Amino acid sequence: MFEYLPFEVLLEIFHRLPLKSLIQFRCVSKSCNSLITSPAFINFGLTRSHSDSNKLIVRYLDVKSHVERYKLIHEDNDNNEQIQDLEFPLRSRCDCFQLVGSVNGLFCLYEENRFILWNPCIRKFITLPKPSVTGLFPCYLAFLFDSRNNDYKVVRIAYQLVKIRSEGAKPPLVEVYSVREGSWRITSAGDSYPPKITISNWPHQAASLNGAVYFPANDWGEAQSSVVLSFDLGDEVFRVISLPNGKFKLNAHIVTSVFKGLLSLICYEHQHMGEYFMCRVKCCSVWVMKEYGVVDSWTKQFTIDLDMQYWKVLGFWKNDRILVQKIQLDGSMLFSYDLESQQVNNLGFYRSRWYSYCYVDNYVENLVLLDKPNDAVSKRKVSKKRKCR
Amino acid sequence: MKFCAVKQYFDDENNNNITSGASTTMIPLPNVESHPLAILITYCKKHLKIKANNADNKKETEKEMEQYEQELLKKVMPQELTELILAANYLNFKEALDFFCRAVASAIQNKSIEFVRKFFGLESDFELGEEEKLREEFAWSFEGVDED
Repeated sequence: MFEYLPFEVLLEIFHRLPLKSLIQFRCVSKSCNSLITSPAFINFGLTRSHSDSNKLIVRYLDVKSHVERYKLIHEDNDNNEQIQDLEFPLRSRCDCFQLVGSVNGLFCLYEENRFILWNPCIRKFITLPKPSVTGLFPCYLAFLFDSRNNDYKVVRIAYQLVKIRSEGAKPPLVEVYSVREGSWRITSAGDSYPPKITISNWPHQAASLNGAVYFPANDWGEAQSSVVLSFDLGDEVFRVISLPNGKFKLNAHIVTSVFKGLLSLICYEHQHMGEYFMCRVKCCSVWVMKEYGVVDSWTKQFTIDLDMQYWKVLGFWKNDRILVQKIQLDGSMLFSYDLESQQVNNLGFYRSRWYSYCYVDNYVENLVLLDKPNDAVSKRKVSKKRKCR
Repeated sequence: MKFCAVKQYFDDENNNNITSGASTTMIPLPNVESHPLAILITYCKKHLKIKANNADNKKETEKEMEQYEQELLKKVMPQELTELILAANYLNFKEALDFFCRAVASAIQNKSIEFVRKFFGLESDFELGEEEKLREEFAWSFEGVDED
């Protein structure tokens, strides 16, 4: 006996299906296909209970050049037998893509003016249209989810080469790509760009929190110290967040992050202070801005003291755990360290390049990009005249 | 009151100042058959009973409810599930709706397209080649599907 099920009831049932079934059931009928690929359904997807909160995606640059690998692992699995390979569908023209960031399971990758958004769980990627100004400007990128309008955005800050640190330097050009709109838009954010501020060159992903992105930066003006530069996607304005006086010199090795929902800094003290990595870690501390916008509320939350030479904090996990990469000659070991119990969980060994950084994020089942037209893998030839950066 | 639609009826009644001296009231439920209604009433009573028995212990309540739900599922035919969902939806009975939707989702996940069509009484209304194109694009998702 067939009972006609109203739309809202079908929705209720579909929301409880695992991702794989949803993808298959697009083929049931035209109306099923429309339902599953509708923006309302896709955006609702995140609150579904099918996201396995114990799974992590690990990205590393393989010892073999031109290869970047993505693996799915269980964080609470001691023997780590359940490591699953995620097929990376693209091939970089140079060596490997720059990872701009990832949010809710969606990855943003970049190389030489080619931007890719990749959703590994539905095995789909799209190539973004080119931004307005392309060329050899040094540019800084960020990727975030703007919950205000349920939209994924890519931020591109392109500097015009000349004398950024000095007075009279041209402000950068800031463009924002919106997945919803499907296009880049030039903002007037350059107007609010504070003078004599440069974003740190230490290659790390910018933190994102509450619809804004945060870069570690240097203030070459009066402050002569490290600061945090924020860009808010709401009003599209730059702001400088000062750090506690005297504690953070210029070019300090700081990474912006989010700890327990608050803006935080991971600060490394290296043995041979230099512009780039290749330094032994002396110690590492995590600072948190307890009250947003209040400089005095910056608090040193804890110090991480590991008896290792080359290592890096990859992120924070479930409030109390720190994900760490131990860098060795033959690869990297990943583990999680529980702040309270001090328990260490081995997360596997990865044959990564010497001194390349791994990247770890929560694996989230997300349908975003499902409704976008499919991108075939580009077979464009690499022009020999182009220089790879 | 769990049956929100019924509660609404009572609320409306009160607003209209109808004195109901009688202890029994006939509430019209035109969209619900007697069989699924009976099951829903039993489910509701059981739920309230379990909740009362395990006053503050939420975990125990959940555990007992799960056991009861498993037992209930064994007695209900898959086709009846759709009737139950419709009834729970009409009555605005959230817990039952959630349970029966989960049950249907379990019943259909990883099954073939044909199985799902039969289950919901749907037919393919794709144009020629459209379905093939979709299947090809996501061929990987069809691996490991249960046999009908």
